[in-house]
Amino acid sequence: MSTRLRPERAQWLATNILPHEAGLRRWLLRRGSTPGELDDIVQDSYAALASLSDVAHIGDPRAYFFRTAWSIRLRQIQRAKVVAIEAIADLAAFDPISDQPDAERQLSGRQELHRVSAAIDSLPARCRDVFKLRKIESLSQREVAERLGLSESTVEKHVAKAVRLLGDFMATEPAEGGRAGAGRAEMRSVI
Amino acid sequence: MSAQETPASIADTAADWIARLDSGPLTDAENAALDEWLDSDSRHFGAFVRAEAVLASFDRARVLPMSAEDSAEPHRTRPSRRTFIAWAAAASMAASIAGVMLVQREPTAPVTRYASGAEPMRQLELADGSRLKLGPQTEISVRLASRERRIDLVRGAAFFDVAPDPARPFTVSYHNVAVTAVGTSFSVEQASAGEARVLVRHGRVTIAPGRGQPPIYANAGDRATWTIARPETIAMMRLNVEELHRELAWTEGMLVFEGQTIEEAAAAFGRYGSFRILIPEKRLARRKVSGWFAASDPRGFAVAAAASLGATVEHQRDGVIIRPAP
Repeated sequence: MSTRLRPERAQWLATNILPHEAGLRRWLLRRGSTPGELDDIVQDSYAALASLSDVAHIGDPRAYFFRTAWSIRLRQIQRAKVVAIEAIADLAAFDPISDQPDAERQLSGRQELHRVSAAIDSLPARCRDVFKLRKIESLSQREVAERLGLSESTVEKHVAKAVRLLGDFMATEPAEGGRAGAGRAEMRSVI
Repeated sequence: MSAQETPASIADTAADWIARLDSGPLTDAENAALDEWLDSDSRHFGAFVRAEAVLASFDRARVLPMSAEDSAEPHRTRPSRRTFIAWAAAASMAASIAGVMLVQREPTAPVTRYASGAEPMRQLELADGSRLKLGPQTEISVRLASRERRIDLVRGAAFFDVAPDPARPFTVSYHNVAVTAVGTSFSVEQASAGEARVLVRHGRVTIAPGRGQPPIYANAGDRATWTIARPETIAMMRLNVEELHRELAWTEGMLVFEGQTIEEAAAAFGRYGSFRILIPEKRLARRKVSGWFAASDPRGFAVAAAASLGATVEHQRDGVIIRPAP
């Protein structure tokens, strides 16, 4: 099962799935998952999505993501074998997509842009420098090391840290709230 | 063992692998180790896939989804829906304001000229610690004296991160209008032939149009525009965060589009070089795009935009033609 990700699949996940992760986590919490269970469900959901041979047929990626996560949660509960039979039947019949009391809007391109900006701004200073040189100015890791006077292994560690922190940011920052956060950062006055 | 592994430690390992892959090709031994790790637990594979998606989120040529909400709003660059403060000359104030424009000049302070070429953005630092970013085809002259710091924008666009120094006002002039700040960050730009503008990111600047006109203040988030020939017509607009971010994206060497048509986006790239993006079919040319792109990579933008719209790209040496799919 060691399918390495093709770049198009990584892009598809980045554009269509990752932005909805924060919403999925909140939704799972409201439906009874504990915080400790979320990471496992999310990691397994990504594994399931990456294993699909074809994603072109998925018209509503967000709904697909939610359904995938829900069925993974069901399997976890069934394996636990401590839940009453009636409860499992209820869960199995539950359609996660029709049950949307608060309409979580689809992210607009504009909102996504600002979430991305806010995410980069949230990185610690040195890590952010490395990340911006790598991703915005497209220097190789070696060139970043030369530019900043760091060892290549330090640069690689900063990239790993950035991936980790940015992942946490994307998982917890609500899409709509990103706008307010970015606004406060931008409008700070010096004098 | 996977029983002891926390999701956090799995995510750490995944991030380490992604960073390793980002630095260059793996050795055979590393490939084998990665395969083994990925195969040993579906959560490993999931964390790896997720970390790869996180990194892909920050790729520069990414066309983002245009929802109905994006395309419903008209172009936000048009001022018609915003409060518009037009300022006109008041001759009676001329006498009391004349003092504002007097600055001590030290003819012996040296003048340094800087110019940029076709590169989308060039950074430099002045002797006082102020950091500048120059857009393409930009020329400035700089004189740092003991009682003032003076910049002249000859042409193009420049962004200033002014090192605070209350004893020495930092003034940027473009033709007959002077923009003064104490410690702040703002741009002065040639907007198009005969037009100029100032955008303030942090702090506040004073804009003095000269010829005895009263100065006006622009604060963080403000954009002042005027016609060079008639600086008394300075108009101010308060931009929201998104608009400010988009209009100053060039300071990062990037172009940001939020609902512009591909045609407009192609024209924006046109200012940065001779590479031509042509979209002969009118309906396709009016499709909208969102995303952020390196100003130096118009071909990358064209490929990404065409892919997202299901269009085809015909590559030529100095440009591309984007057409609807057959």
